Amino acid sequence: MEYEKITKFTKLILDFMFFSGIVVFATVPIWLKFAGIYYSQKISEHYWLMLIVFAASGLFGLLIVNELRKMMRTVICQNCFVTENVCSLKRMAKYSICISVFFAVKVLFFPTPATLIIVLVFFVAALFSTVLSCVFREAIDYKNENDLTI
Amino acid sequence: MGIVINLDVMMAKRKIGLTELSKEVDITMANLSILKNNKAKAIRFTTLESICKALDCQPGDILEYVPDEGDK
Repeated sequence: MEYEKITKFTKLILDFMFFSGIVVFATVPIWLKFAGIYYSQKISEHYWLMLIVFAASGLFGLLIVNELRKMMRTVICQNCFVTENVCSLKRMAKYSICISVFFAVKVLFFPTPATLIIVLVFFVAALFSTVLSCVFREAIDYKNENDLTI
Repeated sequence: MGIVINLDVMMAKRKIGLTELSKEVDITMANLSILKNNKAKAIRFTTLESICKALDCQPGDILEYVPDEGDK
């Protein structure tokens, strides 16, 4: 019962993150201009590069959250060991690598400790997603074998 | 081919249907169909025992080893 509550709550948070993320993604050019004025002059100097990096990373971030939403749906239906989730994890690894690469490019023009941490975090996330997809595939094989044991 | 299940042959010999056997063995029709159509990956000793009891036969009457084409 407790487990169900946590999964439903996580799904709600992911839904909120996804839809609010769309709003943030759509308004990237606007808040980037504000950031250039009030936060750092460097953002204004490299406006187009920053726009490409943040918009692309935002898009990949949204795609990751969407994959997580799909996975949570299967968890709620108590049928999470399916091939679709393996594919989702593999896609998430690819998206994470893309974000990592975009922020690595950003480091070259606008080096900050936070950006370096983001590069590292998403690189590790990509590795974890890949390993987790292998674990899921193993689990699916075990499940199929168990289901076909009469 | 490996291990082949000749459940349908034994069922025909004993003149027993899938529904009746599933009731006697106490497994679902779906699982019995999986077993009959050679889709199962493994069979529990308890299931095999129940089937042998219901059909009054030996495990060898139900299970058969057929070598693969390459093994011949």
